[in-house]
Amino acid sequence: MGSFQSELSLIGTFADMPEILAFVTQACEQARLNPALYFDLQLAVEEACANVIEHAYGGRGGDLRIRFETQARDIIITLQDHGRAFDPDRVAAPNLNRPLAKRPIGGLGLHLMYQLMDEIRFAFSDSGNTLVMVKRSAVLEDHAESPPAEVVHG
Amino acid sequence: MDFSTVETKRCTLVRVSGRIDGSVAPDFGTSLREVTDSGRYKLVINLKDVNYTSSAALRELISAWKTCRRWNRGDVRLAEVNPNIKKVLDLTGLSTQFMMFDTEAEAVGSY
Repeated sequence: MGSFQSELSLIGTFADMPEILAFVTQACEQARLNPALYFDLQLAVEEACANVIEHAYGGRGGDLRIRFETQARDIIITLQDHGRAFDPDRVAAPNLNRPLAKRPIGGLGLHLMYQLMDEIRFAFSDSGNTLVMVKRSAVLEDHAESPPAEVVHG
Repeated sequence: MDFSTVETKRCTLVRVSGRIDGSVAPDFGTSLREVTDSGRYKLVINLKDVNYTSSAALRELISAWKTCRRWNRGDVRLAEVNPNIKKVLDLTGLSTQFMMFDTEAEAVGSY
């Protein structure tokens, strides 16, 4: 069984979010994913990119590569950057039961990524930072065995 | 994103439309602060025509909520929240913190 692949490479800043989200929508359509998942995947990718731009690149932005690929019916989204390594284990999970008045204003992005995706893996090395997010059974069943051609953007 | 306000007897009605992603969330926050900086703390935000939002917009909503609730002077109440936005509010535990109403009239009438 073949797989769909699509990639966007850019110098990512917050101003690029519409372009990133348009790429996600296009990749979802081309990979023939379940339309009910488009919103979840857009949100997970935005939160992941926002973390890279804000924490890895200190808000200034930097090189960012986003790759969509299917493996059977799973969609695998890989983000790569060359900013400061970011240890997700050092980010405290938000306490959603705490009254809002006592909750910090931020800290929800990583939580949303974990909620929306089935699997999340971070890897850091001298050659850059990699985040892999997996959503299982995302490809519509009728299309799992007829993938379209590879598309490369950016 | 489009942002407009309507003054009612009881509160300020804020109508927002479009996508509020990380590129426009700061503008959303600035517009909300312009409302609160002018002394208006009883807000209803109609989210019927907002079809996408991320944590960047939630930060602005929480910030406005905290500003309005200070010294019990007001509140931020949400109206006509569409299903995608409701899902984000549910996942972040905010749907139990913000008062939400099915119609704009009910939200305005709650003040």
